[in-house]
Amino acid sequence: MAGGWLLCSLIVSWAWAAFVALGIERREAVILTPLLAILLYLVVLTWAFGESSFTRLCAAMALGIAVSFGIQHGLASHLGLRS
Amino acid sequence: MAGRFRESMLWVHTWVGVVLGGFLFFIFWMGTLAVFDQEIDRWMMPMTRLSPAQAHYSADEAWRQTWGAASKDWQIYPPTERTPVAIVEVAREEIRREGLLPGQAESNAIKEFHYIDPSTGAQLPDPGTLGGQGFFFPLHWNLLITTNDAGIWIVGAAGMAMLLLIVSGVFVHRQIFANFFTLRAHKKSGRVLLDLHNVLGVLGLPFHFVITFSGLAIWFYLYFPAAWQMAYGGSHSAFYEETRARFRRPAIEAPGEIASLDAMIAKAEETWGAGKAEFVHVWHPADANAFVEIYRSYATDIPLDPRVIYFDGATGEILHYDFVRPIAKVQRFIAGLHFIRFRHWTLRWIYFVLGLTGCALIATGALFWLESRRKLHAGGSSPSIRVVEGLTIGAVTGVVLATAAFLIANRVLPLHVENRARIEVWAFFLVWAATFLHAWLRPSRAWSEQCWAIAVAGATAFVLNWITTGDHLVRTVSEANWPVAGVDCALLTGSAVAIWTALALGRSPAGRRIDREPHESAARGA
Repeated sequence: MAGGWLLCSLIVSWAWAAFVALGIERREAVILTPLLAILLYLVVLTWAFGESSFTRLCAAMALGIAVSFGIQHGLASHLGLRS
Repeated sequence: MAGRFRESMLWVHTWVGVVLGGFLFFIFWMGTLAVFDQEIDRWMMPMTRLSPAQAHYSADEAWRQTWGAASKDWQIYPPTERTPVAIVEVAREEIRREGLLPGQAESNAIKEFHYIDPSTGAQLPDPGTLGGQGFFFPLHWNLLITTNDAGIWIVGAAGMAMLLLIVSGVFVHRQIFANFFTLRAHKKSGRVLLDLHNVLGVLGLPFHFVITFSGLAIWFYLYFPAAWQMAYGGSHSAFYEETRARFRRPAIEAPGEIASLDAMIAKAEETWGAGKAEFVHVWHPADANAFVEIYRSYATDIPLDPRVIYFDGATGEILHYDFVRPIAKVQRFIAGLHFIRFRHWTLRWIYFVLGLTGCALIATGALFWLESRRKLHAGGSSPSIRVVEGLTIGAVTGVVLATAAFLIANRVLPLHVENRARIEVWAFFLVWAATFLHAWLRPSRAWSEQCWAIAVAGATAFVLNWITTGDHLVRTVSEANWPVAGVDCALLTGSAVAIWTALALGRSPAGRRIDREPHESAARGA
């Protein structure tokens, strides 16, 4: 549960900037991203509880968090955002 | 693979339901009451039972009457159809607006509340109660825990669990539409409970999903704050002002005066074209930089978009008027679906009924689990069943009984009693705690006894309202005093349902078996 929330928070931390880069206004992107994150968190939770292999669950979560961190740092330096 | 996934979903559905069912019932119950919070206020605040204001009220008069110029912050809620009094909130000390949430920041200051009869301009006595808006509503969304927004976080976690329960419930019930048409009332109690749980779950599925998701979407910026924190350098006020099209300016510590508030309200209503002013806030009264914030009523639109207009306090000229952007409007629409502030009585009743189905859904789920566990233990009672049953009784019938006790305390306590509102709250929590104790001490009879207690308490609240105010049902119906008549009818209906449930519990084989349990246990012990 905590891992899923962390993953979604990390995605939010760069997805809003990605939306801005795609042309959405900042004031809209900062609302859209967390709203989508709530639904994403629900999907992650459902998947996590449905996943039978604990190893696969941890590996997927760790990979998701690592990739998200990477994108966040990449976008932050590309768009000049504070990470 | 699919079978294993379904099994996992069944496990999640069962255990999340067992662990959080009671808490979710509490949130749903309070939310259901909050649908009619303003009507409950009329019942609990008899001095505000006025006919909907026809006469023109004057904000300027209220400003003078409550010494607005000598205040640090001044707000007025003009009378509406649901709340026919003008409510003025005045702070005499500087308000520290440093919290994340607008409401939370304002709670730091001690405020005076003035209730004004709009047709005469007379000040009404202090109601001495928190009422529905001040107690049931905040209990629903923050549990009255304001420290570090902990209450909102706890309710949010429960909301997420509710969404998970809904999704897992859909996966668990393969024959979801067949389930909807299946209620075998003649079968054993466990079967009836499961059928009822399925019917209520399928019937209310869209509503339960939308109401839970919208509840989470209201606090999106709290649950996932990374976006605004990064975009606005951690400044919540900058985020709030830009996304909600708001305006702020600081005081300059120079004396100033406020122009006519009535004229500003008239200009705001003219600018909107349709809709009345619902809230007027004077910022930095008596300062040269004072400004006035006027919200449009939510009565005509689903989105909670008040189209706020800002006026210069001294000149009464418009300072700022902007619109929220489409995505913000979508979020406000989702929030509007949850808050149901728009005027639609049929829909309000449907919300209320569907809220009750949510309560019944959660309760039947918990009862089904208890029933199936009893069967597993061959009719006996293991410690785990006793704990869950005790908590479920306290959370289901207990909270209903505590609600009735809150209403009774409101009608019993004289108006002049010091800390009257606080005593009412204490009555609620003490009775609620007592129901848990009762459930623990008399597990075999607690369900039916608490149902009987609810029936008596509901009828008592109804009679006490009659005795203390003279507003009996015939009078309130004949005078079209619908808020009071509605609450009275709800009390009587609740009592009737409680009697029916108590009798049904006594008649059902499960009920008889539960009643026999202590004797059998004693015999086994002997």
